[in-house]
Amino acid sequence: MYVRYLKLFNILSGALSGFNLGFCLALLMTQWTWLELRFNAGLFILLGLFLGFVTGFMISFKHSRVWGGLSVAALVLTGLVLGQGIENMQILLGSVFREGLLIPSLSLTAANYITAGIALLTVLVSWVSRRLQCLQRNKI
Amino acid sequence: MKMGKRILTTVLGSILVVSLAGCGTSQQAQTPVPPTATEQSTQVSKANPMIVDKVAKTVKIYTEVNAKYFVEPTRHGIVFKDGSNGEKSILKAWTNQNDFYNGLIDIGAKPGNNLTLETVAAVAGDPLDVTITWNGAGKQIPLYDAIIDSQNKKADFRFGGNQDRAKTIKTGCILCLDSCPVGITSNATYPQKSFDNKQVEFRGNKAVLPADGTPVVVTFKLK
Repeated sequence: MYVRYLKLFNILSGALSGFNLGFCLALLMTQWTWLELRFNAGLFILLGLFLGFVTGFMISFKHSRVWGGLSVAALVLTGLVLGQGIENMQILLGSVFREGLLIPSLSLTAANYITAGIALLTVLVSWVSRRLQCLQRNKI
Repeated sequence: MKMGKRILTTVLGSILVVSLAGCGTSQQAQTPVPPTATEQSTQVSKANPMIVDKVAKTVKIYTEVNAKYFVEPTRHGIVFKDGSNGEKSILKAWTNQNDFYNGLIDIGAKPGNNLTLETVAAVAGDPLDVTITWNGAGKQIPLYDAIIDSQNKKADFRFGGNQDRAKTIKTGCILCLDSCPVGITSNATYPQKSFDNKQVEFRGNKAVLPADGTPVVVTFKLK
């Protein structure tokens, strides 16, 4: 019974962790000014999402909670360090998010709420994914 | 150990939500009051993004603030939103670079056309006063007061021209912050490639500019 959900949550967990890690990479790439002014560095978010999705499809994560937590932690810390504070972090995360997802008319506030929602969802999905793994193992 | 991980993820998630959600009011774009029918012909807006006044020798254009460049450096001051550099400027314009070029010609400005992609020189052309204002600003503010210039020099904006390249390359560049062979106007204070060679950096000044997404009217006046 759990197998179907286990696979679904494994893919979701991979995709969300990939999204967060891709977001980190996008933030780091914006620091390379030459690239930032010639290329949409925010596209690394979509790349991360895609790679995370594919990985989740192909591999069963043994430590989905760790990956999920680490990806969120990495995103928060990267934003804080690069923005050198919360106010600039909000601007940086919001602007890279809307540029990367090709929604230039999105307000920074909306972009930041969505980012925060995805971060929380990552933690939740990773936790559920891990629980399902444990239940499946106990059943066997 | 397990409890520690749970606590860590919960705390990190909470920090992210609180810190990101906290930007609601400070970064909220001000909603412009819709103009009346008579005002529409004399006021710039999204629907009417450029007004040329041949008598006053001014070109006014509608733009919106892009707060990304409060944080990151850029050489792009004003760019047409649908140009390839549309998301890379401090102010995002609703009029395109070709119409803007024609507007400057209409007020009698003469382009310099002295730069190529290879030259390292300062842009020539008629000098321009560039000012900005927005709902609530209450006055015209020199554009360069809203720019943080790492060298603290004064701007010398010129009508560089570059119409052919602007049409071919389609970057959408209307105002560049150092001399530029593609931008319609640019800053003669800094020779071409000054930004690329890291001699100077520019950022939007958040102490002067309004919040992200706020409509800003830019006025170019022939000196």
